[in-house]
Amino acid sequence: MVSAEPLLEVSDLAVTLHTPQGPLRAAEGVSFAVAAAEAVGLVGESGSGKSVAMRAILGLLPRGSTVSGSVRFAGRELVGVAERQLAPIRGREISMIFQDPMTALNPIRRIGGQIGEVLRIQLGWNRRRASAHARELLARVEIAEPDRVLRQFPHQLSGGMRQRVLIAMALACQPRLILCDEPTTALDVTTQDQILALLRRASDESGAAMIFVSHDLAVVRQLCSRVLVMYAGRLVEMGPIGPVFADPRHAYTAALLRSLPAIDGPRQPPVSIGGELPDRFRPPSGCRFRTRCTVADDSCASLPSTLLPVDGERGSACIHAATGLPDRGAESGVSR
Amino acid sequence: MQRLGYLGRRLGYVLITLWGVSLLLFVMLQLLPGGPAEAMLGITATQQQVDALNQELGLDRPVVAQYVDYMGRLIRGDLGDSLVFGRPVVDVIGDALPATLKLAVYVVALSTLSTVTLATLAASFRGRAIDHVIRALPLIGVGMPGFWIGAMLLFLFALTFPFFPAGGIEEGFAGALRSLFLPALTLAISVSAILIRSLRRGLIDVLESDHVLTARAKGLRGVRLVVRHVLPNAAIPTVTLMGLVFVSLLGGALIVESVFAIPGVGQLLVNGFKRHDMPLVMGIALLSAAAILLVNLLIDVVYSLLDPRVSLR
Repeated sequence: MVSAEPLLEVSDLAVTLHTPQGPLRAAEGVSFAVAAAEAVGLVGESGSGKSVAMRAILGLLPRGSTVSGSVRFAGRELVGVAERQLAPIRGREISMIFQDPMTALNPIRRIGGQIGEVLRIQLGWNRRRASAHARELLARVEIAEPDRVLRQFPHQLSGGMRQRVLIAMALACQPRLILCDEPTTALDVTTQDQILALLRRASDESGAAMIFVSHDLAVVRQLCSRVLVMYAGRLVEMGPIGPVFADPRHAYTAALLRSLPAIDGPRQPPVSIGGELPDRFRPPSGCRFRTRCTVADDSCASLPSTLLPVDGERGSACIHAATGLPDRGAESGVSR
Repeated sequence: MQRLGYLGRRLGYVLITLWGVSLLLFVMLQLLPGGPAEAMLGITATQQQVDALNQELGLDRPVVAQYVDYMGRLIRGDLGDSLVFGRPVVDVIGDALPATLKLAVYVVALSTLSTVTLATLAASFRGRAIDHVIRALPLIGVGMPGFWIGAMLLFLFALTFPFFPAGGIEEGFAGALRSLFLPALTLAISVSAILIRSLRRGLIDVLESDHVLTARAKGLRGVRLVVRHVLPNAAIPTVTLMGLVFVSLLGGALIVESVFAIPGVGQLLVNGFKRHDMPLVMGIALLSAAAILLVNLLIDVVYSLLDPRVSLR
């Protein structure tokens, strides 16, 4: 899909979580690549396995999880590797920004120490140098009084400020890849916009690649050049943002787009996706979306779970990809 | 400034509470059958002898007058003279205090060490065999009374296998370390039993929290992760338990000092009671109450230092 040697190559990634109800296959058959400096969106409903897939890249899954498949980052395999070998990569080459800034910082340690820490352990800097750079990083994420904030504790900052601090932390070692796991979901709308603008600018300036996980298609469209769509633990469609949004080739993507209120096209009431996510412990055979799909037929029950190429750059797991998907595309006018 | 005001107010409460304790003690000691004169003179004493001694000690006066007299001296910091030792209570307690303090420091060191180590092990390997073993240990600690643990340790490691002296307290740091090991261990077992459970729970909660995930995403792992981001956070709820633990420690010291023949305050109190030495008993009880109240105040201060979200008001 990506012509040059990709920065990150995920192949056939599968994650099984350990839950009180038994093992849960949270993601499977996930394969995609991210090129250097590329911004890729990963969308899907809650529980579709997006966050789990991201955390699997860095080996940050909950206890008792098992991972199979392969994650190659800059020529190195990250799956099945000891914590000792992953730790030097975390925060330094691949950093991660989490969903809830209210709980993602240690409540009893000062901001300065928490930012400086990543520089100290990953780059071996001393306290003074790390603290000076932490101040600089806070200024870069547009925090007005960096000196004051350095000495403050998380509970003294707003959610937006805390997310800025976490972004500063993620940028600290100039990583080559930043995994953003719904970084704006827990924030109010105005703050969301500021944080998105900041993230876009930060990734442009640093030249870092980014995977932006979100359930918000509009946000992904603003920020990313390519999109991956996940449903019930599987990738169902991927491709460049424009074509995917204009002409979705998977019934789920199409349904997802129909569920968005059209801002810039002719007015059309959003259509919600009927039904709910399948039982994760007993997913339907074949295409997992077929239980909610309006175009599903008998052949969908025996579908291979892999993405099939569509139009060169794109891929879709829908066997109706080439034919009649209920169309939002051209008429409803998703711009791009 | 706010902190100073808080401390002042808390110290005021401490004084009021101590006054309440002294009044309660005074009344309770009055209600005890027998009296110091009988205890001092023995069963062969005649009523005249008892009356004469009571008069000499001022114990024939009305209770209220005795109380006013006692309080008057207490306010000036005078706990009176011990009836048994014939010396000021303050001096008598002062002589016994070092042994008890050494024991207390030893217990704190042993129980902190074992609590942190075992709770961290259990939490890190939660659900595994080692966790189950560590979780079972406190049950033994809680289930067996201190005097029995003490007697068993004494029997095993001082009498059967004489690694440690059977009682008393030896000279010097090394001597104290050796001779106080068994009594300190006895108390540490019951103290750790409470603390391990609390700290393990706290550690597991913190290990599963979001900010530990952030720390791991920064590249922290192993001991460094636990020491910097897990233990300090997990210790907060356990610190609040310490007040309770301190009280049980005081009670335990009474028994352990007797079992191991340590000439400390606990033994002094037991002897004071046996011989109706009211000023001594009152003195020790008041000091213990003061210690408990001050330790609780200290714990609240430590709590506020550990957790910046808590402010002293």
